[in-house]
Amino acid sequence: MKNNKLCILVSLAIVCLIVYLFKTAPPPLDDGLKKQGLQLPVSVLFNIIAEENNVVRSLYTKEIVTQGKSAGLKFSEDWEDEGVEAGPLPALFLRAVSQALEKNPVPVSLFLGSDFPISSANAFDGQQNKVFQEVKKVPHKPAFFYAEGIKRHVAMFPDFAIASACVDCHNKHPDSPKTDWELGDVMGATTWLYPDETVTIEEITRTVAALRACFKEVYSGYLQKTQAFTLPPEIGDKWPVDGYFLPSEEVFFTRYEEQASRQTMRILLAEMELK
Amino acid sequence: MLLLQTDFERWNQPGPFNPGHEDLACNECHLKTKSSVRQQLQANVQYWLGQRKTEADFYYHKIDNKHCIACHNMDKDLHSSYRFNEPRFNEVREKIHPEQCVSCHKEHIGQRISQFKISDCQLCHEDMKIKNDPISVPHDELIERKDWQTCLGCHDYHGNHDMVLEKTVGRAIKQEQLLDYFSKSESPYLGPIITKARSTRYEK
Repeated sequence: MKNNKLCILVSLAIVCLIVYLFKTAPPPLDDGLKKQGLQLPVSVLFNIIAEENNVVRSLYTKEIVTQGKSAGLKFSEDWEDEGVEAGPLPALFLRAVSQALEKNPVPVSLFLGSDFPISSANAFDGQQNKVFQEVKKVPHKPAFFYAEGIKRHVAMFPDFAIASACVDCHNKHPDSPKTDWELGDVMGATTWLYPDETVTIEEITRTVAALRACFKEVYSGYLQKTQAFTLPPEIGDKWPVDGYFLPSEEVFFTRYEEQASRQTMRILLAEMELK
Repeated sequence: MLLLQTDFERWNQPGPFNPGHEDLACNECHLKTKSSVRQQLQANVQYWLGQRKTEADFYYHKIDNKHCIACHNMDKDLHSSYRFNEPRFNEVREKIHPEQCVSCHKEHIGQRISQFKISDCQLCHEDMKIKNDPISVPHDELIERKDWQTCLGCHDYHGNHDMVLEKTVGRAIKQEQLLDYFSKSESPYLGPIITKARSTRYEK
């Protein structure tokens, strides 16, 4: 008799719980992984952001660092230290971008590494090194894989010596483990992480916007620092190729966006054609 | 539920605050979710039944690095937790989870460091080579001797002290002092703090 009563009570409780949770419940919470709209493979996002990164890196390395050095500007590892009148070297520019990206809500991460890094803390290891050795081989294709340990999709893109400034600095640096770099060598790789297997156009747009905001944050931080130099460079519409000048944030990013947006649209449209 | 109400939440405190956090209000870290408890229950039951891919936070958001960075935003952090998300740190992630701030700084235990052991530097730096080593006993020799306590004797893990690094290993901060610092004592590192923690996440 007692058991019957208990059974009835438990059954009633379960029915009430089901009604409470499902039948009369408010709208269900958004499940972060269920996405609306066209789903594109995450490799599309990786290709776009790697291209955006290539454009900013090339522009900064060639037009700001290489030309800037000829115009009298300095670039150093210790650029952030007080009293050092210098700007970030290209790798440090991207390191600062990577740091800024982590503070942004978009779930994308960027890392820089090499098998011959100046700082041993940036040396590839394990699976990442194996993948990098494949990336290094001609024709230097990017590699995509899933890292179970961190539950992230990973992309590695080759990082080329695109200017003499890259080669000279790495060959002359006292802590460099390799001193015979040549222009065009694969000096390392950028590694990108993203949690989902597919992305929507909205997610791609948000990620590109976040990346560009981080580029701007780092570049404007550099411009701000130059204004405390003993001889501050003039900031405006002129570039270092014209002399001791630096392009303003707007001028720098107008040129950047012209190139990067073209590339981004090219990748997106090519993907849409395949669909 | 009563203990989660603002007037009673301190009764629910699982242990003493860690040094520096004594005056913080609970809502500095424990941020309430916007959805209703009923929605959260529903979502989690669906998750257990395999009808949903992600769990829902219950009443409060789960503590993650962004909660810590809201006040401890160190621009020059030498060991930013996010960097350990890179695939190459797989092994060290499995051992000590340095990718999460709370792995080393578990709250409500009344001390600064909860997990990090002085010898943990070896997990990443065992193969470190420095070409022009400026210190009195070269780094590779210290590594060979397994003198791991000397690492933090000269280097502050997060690099948040503005100081010239000691070159004479014999003058490095001693292990006992470091362990006291891990517990509750003031910092033994010389030089001022570079980025001070904000006193509240709500500060503008």
